[in-house]
Amino acid sequence: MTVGARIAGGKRTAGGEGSGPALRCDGLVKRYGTTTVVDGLDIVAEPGELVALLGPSGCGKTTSLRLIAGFEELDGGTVAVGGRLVADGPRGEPPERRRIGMVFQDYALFPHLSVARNVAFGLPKGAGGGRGEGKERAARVATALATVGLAGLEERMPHQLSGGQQQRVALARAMAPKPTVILLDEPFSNLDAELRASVRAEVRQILAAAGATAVLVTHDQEEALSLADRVAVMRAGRVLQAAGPEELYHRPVDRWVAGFVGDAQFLPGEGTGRRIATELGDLPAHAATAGPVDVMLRPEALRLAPDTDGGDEDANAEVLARAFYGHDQLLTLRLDTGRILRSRLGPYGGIRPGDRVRASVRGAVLAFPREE
Amino acid sequence: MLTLRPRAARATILPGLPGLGREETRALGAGASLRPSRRRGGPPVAILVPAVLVGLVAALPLLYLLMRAVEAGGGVWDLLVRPRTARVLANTALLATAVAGATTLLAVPLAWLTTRTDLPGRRVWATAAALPLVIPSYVGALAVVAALGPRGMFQGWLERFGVEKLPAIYGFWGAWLTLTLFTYPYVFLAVRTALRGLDPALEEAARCLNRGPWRTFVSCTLPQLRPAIAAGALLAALYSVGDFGVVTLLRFDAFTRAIYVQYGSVFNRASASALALLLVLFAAALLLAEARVRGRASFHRVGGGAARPARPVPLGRWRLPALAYCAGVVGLALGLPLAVLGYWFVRSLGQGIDVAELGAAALHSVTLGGWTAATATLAALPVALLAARHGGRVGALAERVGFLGYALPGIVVALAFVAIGVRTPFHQTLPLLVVACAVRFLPQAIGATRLSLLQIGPRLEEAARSLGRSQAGAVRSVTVPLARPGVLTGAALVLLTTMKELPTTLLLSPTGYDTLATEIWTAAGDAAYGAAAAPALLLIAVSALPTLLLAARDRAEG
Repeated sequence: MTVGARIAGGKRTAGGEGSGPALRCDGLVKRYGTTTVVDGLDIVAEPGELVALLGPSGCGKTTSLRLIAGFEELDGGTVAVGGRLVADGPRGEPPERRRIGMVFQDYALFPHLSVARNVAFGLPKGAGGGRGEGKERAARVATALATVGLAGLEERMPHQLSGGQQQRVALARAMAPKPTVILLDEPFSNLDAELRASVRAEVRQILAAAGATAVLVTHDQEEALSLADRVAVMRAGRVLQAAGPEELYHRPVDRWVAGFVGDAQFLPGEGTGRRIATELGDLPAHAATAGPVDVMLRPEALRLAPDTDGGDEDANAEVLARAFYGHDQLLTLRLDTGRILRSRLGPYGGIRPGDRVRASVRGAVLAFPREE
Repeated sequence: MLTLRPRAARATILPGLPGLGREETRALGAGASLRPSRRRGGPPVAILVPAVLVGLVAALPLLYLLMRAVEAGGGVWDLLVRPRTARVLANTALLATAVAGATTLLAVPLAWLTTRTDLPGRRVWATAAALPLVIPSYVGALAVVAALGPRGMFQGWLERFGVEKLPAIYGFWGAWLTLTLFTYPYVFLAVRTALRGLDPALEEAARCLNRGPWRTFVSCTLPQLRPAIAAGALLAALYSVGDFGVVTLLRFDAFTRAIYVQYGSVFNRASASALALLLVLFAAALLLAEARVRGRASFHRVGGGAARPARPVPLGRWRLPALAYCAGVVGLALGLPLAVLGYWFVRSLGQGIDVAELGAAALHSVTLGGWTAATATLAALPVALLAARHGGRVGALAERVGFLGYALPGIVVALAFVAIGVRTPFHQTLPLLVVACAVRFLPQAIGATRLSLLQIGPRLEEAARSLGRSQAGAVRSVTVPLARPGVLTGAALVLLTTMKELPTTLLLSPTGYDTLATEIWTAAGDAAYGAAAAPALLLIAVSALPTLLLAARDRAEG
């Protein structure tokens, strides 16, 4: 298949902005010498969707992004943007022809250009360069800056902006040429914690308002879950699971994903169809199981009822420690069977270390076959 | 090595020697990736071929020396084991060691006073203390001779009081004094940078552990400064070893003078080459040592540039002695030469100055500097591109070619190009002189260009490409405008240092092509201090101007 050809069997027409996915990557492979950094990666982003690529550092997420953008050469696999094939193995279009915008981790704002000229950088120059055209460019720059809430800062230089403002200029610059997909490489990692939350929400809102398709790389599970429509969890160069945030959190495909996207603890049990017998009683299961299994328990799925008068026959655990975070609290308890578990509760109720409690599980549980 | 402003001030006053710190590279924002980006498939031929050619030309002096040595065979050995060679070697080593020691003693207190105390006028003192670097060492030597020599200023005055003869200034003591006075800024600047980078919390911790201020300095601050001191002192030693003007004017039999004498009066090429080879080895050893301790010195900048400034130490009743100390050092290193030259200049006014000759010499200096700057900058481009953008073995080699020149003292480069030139039609022509000077100062040009390219980093070009520019378009719209100031600063630096360069100009100038440097030299040789004063002052003014401007801008920018 030649580069630029339509994907076989697709219903896309020339121009490419059809009804198919805005971005489709199939089996991306990248090797450096003998190490395979990206190993058969598949990603799909539907138009208007925000997909997060989540993984620990060194799992190949940034390399994947650079492969899609065209800064690195593929060793295998294909990339299609808006239904148009832009890379097929080592043959690929140069970055400037892929209709992909990029927001870099360090923003990569051109230090010698004003905010306005940074944003205008990717806009077509056109042939004439006439007056009307200049006006049109200026209008597009103004629109782009207004979108990110930076109207009026056109003549500032990048170094005169705060980190959050630089971030938004980078976003405006990437969005101004109206690319089919925008890639964001750890876009919030250079911001301090306080700023991060607000900028995150803003970026999400800006992208949604523009109906932009975006792929975001992050190692922060909270960021991925709260921002993305879909999260692809990566490990060692491949995607282990791609799903909506809730499904990912509640029904991870394996223990590693379970532990990576949140706090996960495991309780041994014996599967008997839709129910699993455990130290905390018979629990309803999401799916039928049989034989020895490990039940995944998120701390917040463990409910505690205090045994205030010390007469509760059903009390089955003792609170060992308590860490109070304000918005919630984390209690460490020892079941009477000796097992240690963590429970996350709201900030109310005066359960203290040393108290007896009754621990029970909320809702249906997910179980993995027992690991030896 | 150079950087864009505002640190260029320091770079500009470091003629002909490796820069004082790698911290410029680190001082860039957290985001800028400074590792060379590796591109697949090796560097393009369009860069590789010119880079290899430049490398070959840059290596010519060394190749020449090696060829001579091979040619002479066993004869070289005989030359090297002569007692005279041993004496020259011992002299040079003694001078380098003495200068390194003296500059350290002079500069460390100065650096501490101007960074860590409430010394009145700290910033002015800091600028003034670095300024002796703009005085070419041979001009400094000239000033010392003109002041303290047998026909000098003080002798003239003292004769009226019946003092017939001052102790001789010539020989070791004169050379040592002069080199110390004009190279201590290397140590001063290195230590000052290190002091500013130190985390004051460490000293505060020491104070909390019941150490007094003096014991804190000795047990906590000084050990952390040791690598910077070592790097600066080695730089001063390297300068002393390679310097030609001072030892020759003050008649101390170190390598460069011995080579010149062998070459000039005895016209013994083989002997001169053997000595030159030994000198290069000597310089290379110092250079390697310097590079190693400098690597360690950078350890102290881990905290980055945003460290909390230290609270100044109140000097109290030590304020006056401290001021006297600063005034003494600056007075000797900066005031004395200016005063002496000024004195002779005023005296020469009476006899009338040949303005036409002075103008011609200045024009020649500028012409030579301009051509050299253009040649060196152009030649540096492919090498710097390789070093900055293509990692791996080729890039590392390119970097080393840039470094090699620092181990080649001017007299060695000059000697080699004279020998090569004689066999070509370019003998005694301006182009040959320009090429020799360009080879001599290529490292500065490569350093400047490489650093500007590294500062830009590949990420910006990628951003341009993701915004629809082609590779060439990205280079044109992003890399070129961003690299330009750094590259131009490098070119300006080459221009200035070429104007000050003595041995290369002396040996390779076409007949009748007098520059400011050769005018000064000739006049100094004839003890015609009046005739030397005007070109010397002009040269100092030209060198100092950009430094002062940059320092002023630094201050304005805070």
